[in-house]
Amino acid sequence: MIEFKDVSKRFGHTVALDNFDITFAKGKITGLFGPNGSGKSTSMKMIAGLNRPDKGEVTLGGLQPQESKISIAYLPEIDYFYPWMTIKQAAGFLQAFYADWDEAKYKDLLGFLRLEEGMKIAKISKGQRAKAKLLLTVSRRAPYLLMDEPLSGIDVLTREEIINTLIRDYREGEQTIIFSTHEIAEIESLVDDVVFIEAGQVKLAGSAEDLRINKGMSLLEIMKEEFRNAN
Amino acid sequence: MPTSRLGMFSKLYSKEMRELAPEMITVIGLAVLAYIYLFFKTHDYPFAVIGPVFMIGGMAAFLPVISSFKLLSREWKNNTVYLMMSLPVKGGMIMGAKLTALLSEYVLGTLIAGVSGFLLIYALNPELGQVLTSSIPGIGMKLIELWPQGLALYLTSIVIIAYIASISFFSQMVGKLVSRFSGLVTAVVFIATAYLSGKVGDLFWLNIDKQWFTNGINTFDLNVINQFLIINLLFSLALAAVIFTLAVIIYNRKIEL
Amino acid sequence: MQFNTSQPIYKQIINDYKKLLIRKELKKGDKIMSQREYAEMASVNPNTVQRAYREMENMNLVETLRGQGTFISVSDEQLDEIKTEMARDLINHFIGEMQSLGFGDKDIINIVQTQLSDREGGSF
Repeated sequence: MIEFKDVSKRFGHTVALDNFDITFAKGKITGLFGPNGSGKSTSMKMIAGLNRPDKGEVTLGGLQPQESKISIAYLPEIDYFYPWMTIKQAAGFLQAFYADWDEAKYKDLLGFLRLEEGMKIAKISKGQRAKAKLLLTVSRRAPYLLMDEPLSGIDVLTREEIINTLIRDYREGEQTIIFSTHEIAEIESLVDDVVFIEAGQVKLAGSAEDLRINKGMSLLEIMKEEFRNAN
Repeated sequence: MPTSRLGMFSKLYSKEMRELAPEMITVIGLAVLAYIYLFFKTHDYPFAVIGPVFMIGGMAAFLPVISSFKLLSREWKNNTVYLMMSLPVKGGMIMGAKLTALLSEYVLGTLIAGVSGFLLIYALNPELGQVLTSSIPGIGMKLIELWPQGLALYLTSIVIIAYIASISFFSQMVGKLVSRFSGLVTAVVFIATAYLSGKVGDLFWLNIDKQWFTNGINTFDLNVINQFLIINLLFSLALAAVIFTLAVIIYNRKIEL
Repeated sequence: MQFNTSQPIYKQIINDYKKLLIRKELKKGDKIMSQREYAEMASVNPNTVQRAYREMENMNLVETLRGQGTFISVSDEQLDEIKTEMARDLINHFIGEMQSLGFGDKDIINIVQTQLSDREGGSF
């Protein structure tokens, strides 16, 4: 369980989070949706311990982010691996830090995603790089999995592969997964819960199925409606 | 797979060494090429080889200072800071690995450039070998017998590199705290920290008995010289450690993405 | 598999099984896909599949035997009920749509009869 308690965060004059208050349930896949600059990345980084709240508190199962790094697998939106590394070297690097690294799963996913260990991160295509990031993140059995825009700039077929990988790999009840994207349509059937965020605040949150039952609309339609009303 | 602090450190260290590889290869390659050239071209004036050897040695010694800036700033430039900061290790290990790599760069560079340079000088001027083994007038010792003092000076030079690298880390960390003019802030903090820590050094030496030291040097009292070398080494080490710790504290508590 | 994302997905999974039962593509005693297999096949969240399977168990459509898997356990009466219920849902949906287009009850019956006889070569 990941909790934000009235968290506010500014960067200079920009308000990134504004009394952001939400709980991400344990064992669920939560979609974090919102327009660019709404606070998605800031909140993910905050969980990963890469920045700190100005006000309020973030906890993971009661612990501070700084104390939880060992149990977090974080996939940032940007390319964050050393460009000279091959996939094998990057995997070896992570293995030294995380005891939850699962070599069998890594080998299995490597084949499933049609990647090769000798591929150099600087020299592969954007889609392959996105898949490599995914591979290196989910090859760990981390209790918390944070994925910031893992689908952005990636072709439709690769997106499907990424989503299928997550489903294949998901362990019910154990992992808390947060998935941010603005491509809602792609992950309608992937998420348990949704959080719509705008201007650093929770706009709407709840179970995806309940929202569909109550509103008779898809998540995409709900989001369009929410953000249309806002403007 | 079980993990260990040592395993983590050695992964970080080898990563930093890989980052430094281009510079190290350049300096060592340059030294070797220059020495080969000098070996074949300076028969007429064998003494002329000494200047270039010292230049290359000096370059190898100075290189880690430049590398210290590259090693940190590149993490931000390549966004690898996201990986670095999400690792389950604190700034002490992150920057410790970087510092250790810089010191390795210094030792490897100076030893290779220095030892091969020394061999080159000797090969071209065999008569200079006598300087090492003949008694120094007025002191009554051979130069080669002063090797422990030489070693202490070399160790001090390593500590001084660690001290400069720590100032570099510290000033870059301070630079990262501001969103604008980061480079300028880094430069100003670097100069200011170097100046202030130099002042601390002056204060420290002012409190040491000058008479004791001057007499020791004049009479070439090895005991005094040894004590001086050790105090100097420990003082530089303490200064470097304080500045390094400040850099680590900023990394752990203040750096944000 | 493609879902209608404006409807709850777990209900669509249940309906999917109901259709297979009515068409006799699945019958009592048949083993069905595990939850995980279904989730992977349909690219849907495993928790959603779990919810659908749990609901089907509560409705006695399936039973899960420990260590063996999930099996169809529907009775004949239940099957008839499901069939009637699905037919009713479809008809109600159809009637609703027709009414929204302004068709009266007689018009609806007439047009259904005409269409059926056209399809089956005039014999009704």
